[in-house]
Amino acid sequence: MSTYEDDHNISSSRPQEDNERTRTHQSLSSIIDSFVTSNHSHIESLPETQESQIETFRNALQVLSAEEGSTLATDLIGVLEDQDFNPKKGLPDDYLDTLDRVSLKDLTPEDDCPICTNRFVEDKYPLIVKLPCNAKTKHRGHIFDLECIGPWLKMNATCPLCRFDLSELNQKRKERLAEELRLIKEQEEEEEEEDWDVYG
Amino acid sequence: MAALPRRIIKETERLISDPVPGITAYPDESNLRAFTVAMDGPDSSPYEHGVFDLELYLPDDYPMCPPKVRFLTRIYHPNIDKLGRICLDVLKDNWSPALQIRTILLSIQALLASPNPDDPLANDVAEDWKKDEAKAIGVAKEWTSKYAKSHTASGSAE
Amino acid sequence: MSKIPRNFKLLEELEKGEKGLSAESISYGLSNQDDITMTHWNGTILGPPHSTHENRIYSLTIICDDKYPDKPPQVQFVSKINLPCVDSNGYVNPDKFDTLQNWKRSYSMETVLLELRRSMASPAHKKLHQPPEGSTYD
Repeated sequence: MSTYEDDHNISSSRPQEDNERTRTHQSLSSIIDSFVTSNHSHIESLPETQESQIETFRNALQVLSAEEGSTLATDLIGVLEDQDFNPKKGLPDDYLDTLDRVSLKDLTPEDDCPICTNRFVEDKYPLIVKLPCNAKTKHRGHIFDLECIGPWLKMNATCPLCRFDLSELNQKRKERLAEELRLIKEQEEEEEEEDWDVYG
Repeated sequence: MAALPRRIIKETERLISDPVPGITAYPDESNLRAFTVAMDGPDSSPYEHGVFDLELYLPDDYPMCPPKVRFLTRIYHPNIDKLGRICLDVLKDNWSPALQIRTILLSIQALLASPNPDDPLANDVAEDWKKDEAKAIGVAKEWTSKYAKSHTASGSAE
Repeated sequence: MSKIPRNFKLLEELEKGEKGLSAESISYGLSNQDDITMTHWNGTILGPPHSTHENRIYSLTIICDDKYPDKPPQVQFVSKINLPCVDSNGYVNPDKFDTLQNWKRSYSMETVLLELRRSMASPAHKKLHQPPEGSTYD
């Protein structure tokens, strides 16, 4: 005889399971509460907390979606994937590869990296990069050790000296990609359309 | 304990050899990432003639993240709470690794000179400040003479 | 890793508590909002389910003296409880509570409260007969 647990391919440790279920629901409601009441304009100001909160929220939704088959949860997960809710402020790793390199020849012995405050000439094998921040310097951009600016740009999309937002160009590139993907998806959906009449 | 980054050593040396006027900052002997700070209240502010003690700590991620700073001396200010925590953009979202301990301390001193009750650190001082600024400034002066006494004639502790 | 000084560690713990980022089954905060030394704290533990503590809320006081976090805090139950590591005055006996006995600097008040709750829920303790609900030590 097959049990409910067997049918649903879940473990039969009842008490624990019940316990976990209740807790999932409890925490979900409070997480939704805090998520909904927290001011979204502050997303930028609380990167870590906000991120972990969203992560917990996402996990809770995934449980709801998988175990309860909640379509609302599935939809909400989709919303979370949306750019607007993505609190990550930094630039992708490959962004560093797009930066212009600067040769020691083009620098004076006094030039130093604003982050480590060491003079570039002191480094035997310096890797120096210029940000596309269009600063009104002789190089038309602020200059840093790659090693120093790398970790900063992973978490922040601004020039440390002029706060120029570097994410815009990167964002435009991403939007172009997203648009292409959308077109492909649309084509696929058109083929399936007959089966999805209910959804208009 | 990991070696102290060269930048921190350089900043510390400069803080001692070429101090910011009206601010002293010394590293603790037992923890070179922790500093004891004494800050003069800015002239023609309610904090004038006061000397305020602060503590500052450079977390492991410094300078990728800002120093942590708080007032140890009680102070009546709309952007500083009862525990001495400071509401200042460069200590939070507006931190940049191009800023340094000295620039941060100068920003805090500037905050004393120009309180900003419209961006309060959830406290009732900001309310008082907006309701009756003259009265609030009076209280700030009172607190300054009560709590922020100069330690000695030379103005240094111990 | 550098050693975070006492005050900044306590500020971090306070912020975590204030923002509600700590576990839901426990809470903690300063006893006195003006206490610039951040020495005296209040804590609560929500009794674990499926135990004699179910639905009870236990109050505690926590003292973080100037040796904290190099040394563990002093923890005392305000609500009466029957638990082997708690003495007749409500104090948590460090010799009988591993988290305090083998204290690590990375631990926090949250660790202490969660571990106490775990002890309350453990198979050996979850059926212990408890004093009347709401009774206190003082």
